[in-house]
Amino acid sequence: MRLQYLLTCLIFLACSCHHSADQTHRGSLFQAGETSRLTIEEKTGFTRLVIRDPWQNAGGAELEYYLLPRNSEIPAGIREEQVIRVPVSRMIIMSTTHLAMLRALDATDLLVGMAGPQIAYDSLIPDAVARGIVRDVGYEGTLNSELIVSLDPDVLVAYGVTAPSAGQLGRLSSMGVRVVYDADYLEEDPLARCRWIKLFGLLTGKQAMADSLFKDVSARYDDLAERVRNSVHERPSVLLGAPWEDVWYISPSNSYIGRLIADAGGDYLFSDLKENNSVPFSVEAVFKRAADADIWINPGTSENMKELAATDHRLATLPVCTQGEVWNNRKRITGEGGNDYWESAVVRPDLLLMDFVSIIHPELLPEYTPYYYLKLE
Amino acid sequence: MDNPWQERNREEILMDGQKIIAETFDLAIGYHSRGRINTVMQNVSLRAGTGELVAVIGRNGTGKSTLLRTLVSLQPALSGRVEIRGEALHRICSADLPRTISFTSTEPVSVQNIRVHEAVALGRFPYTNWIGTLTPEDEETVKEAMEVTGISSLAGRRLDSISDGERQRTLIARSLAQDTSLLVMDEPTAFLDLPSRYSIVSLLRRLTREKGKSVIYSTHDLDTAINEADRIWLMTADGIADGAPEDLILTGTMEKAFESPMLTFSSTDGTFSVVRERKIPVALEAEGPGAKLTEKALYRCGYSIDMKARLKVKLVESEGERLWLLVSDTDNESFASIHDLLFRLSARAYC
Amino acid sequence: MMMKGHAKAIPLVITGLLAAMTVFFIADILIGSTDMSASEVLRSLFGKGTPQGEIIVMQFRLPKAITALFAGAAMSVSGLIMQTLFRNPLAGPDVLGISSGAGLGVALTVLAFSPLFSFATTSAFAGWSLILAACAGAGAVMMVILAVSMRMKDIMTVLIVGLLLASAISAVVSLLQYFSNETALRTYVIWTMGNLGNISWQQLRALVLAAVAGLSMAFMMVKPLNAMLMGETFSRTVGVRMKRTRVLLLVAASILAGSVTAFCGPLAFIGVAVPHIARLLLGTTDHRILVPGTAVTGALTLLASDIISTAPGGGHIIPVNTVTSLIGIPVVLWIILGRKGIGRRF
Repeated sequence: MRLQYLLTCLIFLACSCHHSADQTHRGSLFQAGETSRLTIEEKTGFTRLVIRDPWQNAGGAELEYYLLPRNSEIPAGIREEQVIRVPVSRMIIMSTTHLAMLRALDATDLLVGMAGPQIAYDSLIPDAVARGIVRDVGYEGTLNSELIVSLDPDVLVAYGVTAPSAGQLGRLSSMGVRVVYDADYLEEDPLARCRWIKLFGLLTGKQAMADSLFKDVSARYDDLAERVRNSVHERPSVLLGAPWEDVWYISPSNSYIGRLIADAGGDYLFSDLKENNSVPFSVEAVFKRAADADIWINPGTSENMKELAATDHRLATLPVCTQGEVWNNRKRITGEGGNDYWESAVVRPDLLLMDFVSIIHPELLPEYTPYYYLKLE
Repeated sequence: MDNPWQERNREEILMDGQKIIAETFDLAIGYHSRGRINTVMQNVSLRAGTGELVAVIGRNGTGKSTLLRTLVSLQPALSGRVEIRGEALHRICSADLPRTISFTSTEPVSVQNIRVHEAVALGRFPYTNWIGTLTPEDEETVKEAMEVTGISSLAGRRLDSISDGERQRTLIARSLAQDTSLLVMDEPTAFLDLPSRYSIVSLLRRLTREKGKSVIYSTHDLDTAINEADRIWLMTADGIADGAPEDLILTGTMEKAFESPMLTFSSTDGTFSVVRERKIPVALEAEGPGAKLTEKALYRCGYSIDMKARLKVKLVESEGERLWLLVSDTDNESFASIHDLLFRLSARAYC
Repeated sequence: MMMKGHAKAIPLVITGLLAAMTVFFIADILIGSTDMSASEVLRSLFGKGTPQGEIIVMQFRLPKAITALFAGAAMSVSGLIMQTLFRNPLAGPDVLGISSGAGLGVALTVLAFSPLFSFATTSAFAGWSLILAACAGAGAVMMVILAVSMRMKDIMTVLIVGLLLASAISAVVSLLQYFSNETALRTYVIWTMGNLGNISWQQLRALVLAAVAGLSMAFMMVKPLNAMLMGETFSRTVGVRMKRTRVLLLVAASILAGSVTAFCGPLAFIGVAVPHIARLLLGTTDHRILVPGTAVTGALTLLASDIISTAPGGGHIIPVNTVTSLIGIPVVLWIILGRKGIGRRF
């Protein structure tokens, strides 16, 4: 199970760098809507959802869903399998991000099952699992299909790492379970990622709440990004990630975190790297560039300098380490491997941006203490 | 199993000056298998004289390999003792043993890339230093060993590029290079063709005659053993007989050992032959080299020689040419070869 | 003299191999993932370069090159010993599951006793205890393989048992991972990927000492190794103390394979392929020449592999196990498909 969590994180990291060649920089929420994989079309009597490229290397595949109220007839031309009756009363989710979105909408009572509840940061989960309200349905690849079917969910919100036809999710679909693919983790834009809360809003019948939440978060984000753009004259260079033995997977600049750094007024050390996925570099090559880094963010799982030096003793000699500007998203973690960074931060990119601005340009937010990030001592 | 020939062996009187190189006293040989003891043979008392060529023969499963391996200390004796040159085997220190006895097993050599010269040089193992460097004397010994076995010209060749016979000679050369007074070999002639088998055994004989070595070897090849060995150790289910080949034949020991409904042993020839079923009598009138062979051929066809028989075969020789005449009550026929004679006999339904 | 032309060529080949090894060693330091001119590298070696250049050369390139040299030599000689000991041309530390055994030793130490020390710490204690655990694991597997090979004469059976052991050990390690906490798990998964970098100077000292010890032991055993070429029976009757010899060879091979696997992870195919390359180049089966010859060939092969791994340029690298597999697999195929079958190549 730990291994799968680890693998999931790895894939998360890798996929967080997946993007389309189109490199739209930060913009308004309209732009976020255009480039996002989630398309919502309101029609009379139902809502049509189109999810594009729901998993890696989907090659433009699209999934279509129709959200209908409970007792209405299915319009002509729509197949039964594409219909999801909303609002749902029983939901199974497969990611802690989905949990955060439900929590933000105050709809966690709809949960009947979850994949990997042990790593949830949200404190209500351990209790709910212990009382049998929320059941552990396994992990992708080792899902407990019997349990899922027996829980009779109205919808299963999944994320697909690989094509579903070969996997259990495909089989569940054919058994009558409505599976919706949430591709938020594949979005490269922080606001586009947050926008997926609208999906949950539609499913839970709380569209208005979701819309207003998104509007507020986007406004706050955009305001701060604007402020940074106007007041910042120099951009400190930022190093990201950590090596694994002799290989360092470098996120490209057009990734989710690359954009956050740019919006926070930082200059990503590998801003010249524009790829679809993370690129393996040798530690030596990164080391050379890293000598110029002013700030280091997300050095693996290290929580203090000692742990950092343990992963690779040579990195401790970098100026960024000796001058003590290393920050990691380990402030809100649980003993079981849960990290709120992967959970609520997706719903609150504005908070995340504030964290980064506070790290990179502390003069802009003097009163603010980072929410997700701690400084390595 | 008790050894019925034990008494006879003990009675063998040592001639003056005859030295014994290897001797066993009331030896029991066998092996441990899954916690039980398997005794292959008991009360084994044998001798091998210095400079003798001893052939160990016996049917499969009688324990030839076990005996040889016990003799060279590869396997512990179950009871009794072995003496080499008068000294108890287990007393000989581990440094001296390889300088006293050499052993060639039936194990096929799995490494084929090794060169002949290197393989022979490995025989100097008990004499060389920690890294195995060959002194000029060592080289000399190796060279001589290869000369005696006739493989000097193969020195640089790899083991897998030479013939089976040459490979066997290499192993013998290796034993020679080991410079031991006693050479023990387990089936050195196995899988060799007939001429090779003879040449190997004659090489062994030369080693005893010209180099004063004592050689004990096991074989399935009765012909060469009977003809070339000085002494035979004959292993049977009842025990072991020890003596000169001719002695064992004369006393009927050889015949008894290999007795079977299928085989008979000819004491005069010292050879085995297959038992034939029908015996149609035929008279034979022949002389010279052809006589014996004609008799053999007739015998193979199921005829026995009876001078009173009505059917007669007559061998006539003139000017180097032979003619076989078949004389019966009804007619005479002549044949230019034994084959044709036999063919006619079979056609006549005498076979 | 009995020796033909091929024997005269041997000193020449050895000189050539030593020269190549030296060249590759220097090249491995000069060539890395970042651009540094040769003069800059040389200056850094002698303490006269830029601070950053010095760190790159002294903390990245030099330790890597030394690791490649000793790891290559050690793994290759380990494979050579195993091939002679088991009389099996396909024997090697990875093939027979001995690297996996070393891995299990490391896994047990890391995963079960992680409160005592952190796996990746650079302290000397951590380095030595890792090596000991890895060597113990390697030794344990080797004992099993040895026992099997003494009972079964068929070389294929031994290979299959080795592969089964490797799988079984992987399964055990997976189980251990399941019950472990996150940090230890992460470091173990990283380790199994196999690499030559990220070894501290203290750890390197431990590796070099272990490699030298194992190589010396191997060289002291060349005489019985040569005798063993002609079979176990011959060896015994010619004066080799088989029990003692087998134990010593097992210890030497375990030290060599275990110490390398402890710090570099399982290195693929080096142990199996290099002895054959050495046999081919030197044209002999004499271990007096083969042991040093294999060591040098192994060193230069791994150094070359390390250089090739930086070939993509621009900081991108090919994992070193990929390169050694690309070299080693054709060699193994060549052994198996040899004209007269496997025995021919041995």
